[in-house]
Amino acid sequence: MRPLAELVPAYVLGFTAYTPSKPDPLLMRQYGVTRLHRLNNNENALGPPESAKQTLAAFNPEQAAIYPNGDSFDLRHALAAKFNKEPDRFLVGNGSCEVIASVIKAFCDRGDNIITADKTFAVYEWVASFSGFTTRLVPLAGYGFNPQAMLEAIDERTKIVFVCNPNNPTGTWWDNAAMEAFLAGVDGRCLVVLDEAYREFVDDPRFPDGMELMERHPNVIVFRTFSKMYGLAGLRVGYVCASSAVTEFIRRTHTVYSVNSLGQKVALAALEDDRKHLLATRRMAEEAKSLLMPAFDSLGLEHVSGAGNFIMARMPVSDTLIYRLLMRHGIMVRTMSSFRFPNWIRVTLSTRPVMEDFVAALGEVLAKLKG
Amino acid sequence: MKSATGYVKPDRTTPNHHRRGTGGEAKTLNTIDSMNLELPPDARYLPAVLSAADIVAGVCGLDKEKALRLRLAADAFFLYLCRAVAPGDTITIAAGGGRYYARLSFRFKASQIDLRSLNFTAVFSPEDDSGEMELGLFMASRTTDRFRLEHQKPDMFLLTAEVDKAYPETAEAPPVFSYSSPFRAASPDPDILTEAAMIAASQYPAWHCPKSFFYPGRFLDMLADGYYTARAVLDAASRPAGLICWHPLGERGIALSGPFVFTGSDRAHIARLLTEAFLESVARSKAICALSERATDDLPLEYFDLLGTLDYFEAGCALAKPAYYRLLAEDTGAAVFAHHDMEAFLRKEYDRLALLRDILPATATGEAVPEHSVLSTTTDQNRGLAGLWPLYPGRDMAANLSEHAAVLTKRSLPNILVHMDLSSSWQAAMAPDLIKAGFVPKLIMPNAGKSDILIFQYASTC
Repeated sequence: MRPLAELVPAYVLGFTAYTPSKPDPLLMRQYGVTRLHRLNNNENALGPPESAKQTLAAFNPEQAAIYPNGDSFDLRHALAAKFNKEPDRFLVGNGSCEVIASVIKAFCDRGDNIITADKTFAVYEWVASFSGFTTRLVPLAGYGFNPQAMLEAIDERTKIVFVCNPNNPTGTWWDNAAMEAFLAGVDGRCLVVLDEAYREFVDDPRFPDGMELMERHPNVIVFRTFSKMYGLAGLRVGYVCASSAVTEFIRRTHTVYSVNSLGQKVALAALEDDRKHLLATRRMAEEAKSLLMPAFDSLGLEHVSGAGNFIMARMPVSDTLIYRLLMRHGIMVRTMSSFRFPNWIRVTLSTRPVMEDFVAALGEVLAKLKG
Repeated sequence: MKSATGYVKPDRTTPNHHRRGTGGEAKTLNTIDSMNLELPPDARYLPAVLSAADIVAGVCGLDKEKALRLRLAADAFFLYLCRAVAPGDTITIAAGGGRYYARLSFRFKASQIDLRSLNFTAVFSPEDDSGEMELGLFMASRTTDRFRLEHQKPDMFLLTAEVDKAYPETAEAPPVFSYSSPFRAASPDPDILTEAAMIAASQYPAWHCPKSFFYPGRFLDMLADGYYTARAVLDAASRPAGLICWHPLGERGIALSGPFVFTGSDRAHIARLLTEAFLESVARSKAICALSERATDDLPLEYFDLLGTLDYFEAGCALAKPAYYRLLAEDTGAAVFAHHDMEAFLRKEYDRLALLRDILPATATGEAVPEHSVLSTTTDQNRGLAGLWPLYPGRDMAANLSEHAAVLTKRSLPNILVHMDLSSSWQAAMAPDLIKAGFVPKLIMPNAGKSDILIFQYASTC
């Protein structure tokens, strides 16, 4: 057989696969702890809405033998009703990571580039890299996306600009005015993806609604997910919405049958009864933040937070060391070196007892390092 | 006789793929096209091997003397292998390299080999009855700049030899600038980076500087080959006010040099800019660990964890030099081999570093061990530094190590480090031999080899 490397494109050869964390029981054994608080993935500590929990519990095991609906028919119709759009303008994927790949595959060709920020969600950059496309990384201005620099980075080979709004991991967001000015600057030269994975955490009239923007800017594509606010990360359901014309092209590269039956049903149920859940989750996040911010201040740690269920703090030592030391206390945070924020950690905002455990553990770890 | 199965074909399969070189220097593998030959172990095919050596020497730009060295190595290794490889088997030769070196590698099958003549300490006497073949190997070990032997699977070996291009040492003194703020991190042209390397070599003790800082042409070629990556801090007039550079180390490590800061003031700020530029640059790379074995005093310690210290002997004095590292990603744990004599040391260090490691016993269990061991040696006269890498086990390991220590010390190389890869059970089992020969374990370098590297230092009496 030919050497395997000869069969692999150079851009795949040069790419390193992401290594997810090990299963909890294994990590707990390795670190010698009896419980593990996962504060690394911005999961919702309250779980899914009540209606979704009931649907989960009522799932008929016999249905597992049957293929799911290939294009999430019912869920797309429910989304269409919620946002007052046609069902064909929605595509549902196995988490928003899948729809990122679908959009890049649909529009990028050899020699094309995408644009995003240097310190944001990594998957846009990863998918472009292992697909052979260039990513132009625009440095954040302060902790937010820099609209002017992003506009300047656009050229005739730019196909997509990814704007994470609110940004993960800084929580910054463009308001209506900034977004309108940016879209006017793009002037339809390329597509603009608004990744609104954390948009349900924002309750501010100045926050731009991508679903509304796309009606005036046909180059706007919106990503949303059931993994964060809706507490369904384990079922992996995300979706993309755009104009009919744009969605039609994305559909061509989008995998069908990738969202399982359980995920489709539970996501649909979550949409039906989300008001109370949204408010409870926002309240939990705010309370957690009001506990963490003074705690970080008292420890002399710089911190950054905005919209979303997470907060970042700068450690006086390497973030990877803090991760390992906190793991010995059964606390798992996200190191930010991989987000190009060396020495920062990101902490998911969770319930009060968990936040108190985290603060106590961090205090102990830092005191030990100092002493 | 088996018919010749020689074929020559370009090989672009591994561009920019870095591997650990003999002597611990990671190398860029075949940044030029390489050619492959598959030949029977028959001395009549020697002209084909010599032609390949000549061609690759020319392509890589070796001068006449260096080309001759490569040719000598090709001659010696091939003739040795004609004897060591069974008739009917083949020897696969790859000739390639980069802008600053040429490389020949020989992949072959053999039940047992005796390559002791490759040891730095080998002495050849005309009266020696070991014959012409050993003389060839002896010569080859001295004409190449590095060689490596990998035992890839049962009976399969890969022997690699490299010869570096010759470069003139820097002649002119680097410029002295008067700097003005603001300072910013940048990725300037290679010429600017090379100028910064020369400034660093003139301002910092040799211990902190890679050898190539003293040879601007070599540093430029290493940058172009992708062996080194560097970032600079520039002042308001775009003059280099600081430098940091790094190269791959082992499977997933990075070795860091610097930060080098050239200003009288703003040193901490510039060092921090350099360090953050480095960390942001490697954040989404395949590397999971950055190591700084010879950190400068400017290294901002909040970004790194202390690994331990090495004793640096210079002019009769011993100075404790710290080594640092940081993980670039979350540690997922690993398994390493350890001899009983090392287990307590390793457990203590892994606990201090909060690294998850399952320690597996590495103790001889009665298996056959070859008679003669082979070590690879690199030397750096500027730093009085010698690095030893175990290539092949042998019953004479303790004596071989002692002999190396004696010869290297005599050559004014008092800083002798042995690099033990803890992914290898036979290397881990060397611990008693190292201790017997006067080496002491100093520090663990996580992920610096196939797994972690345990550094032993010779307890020099200088």
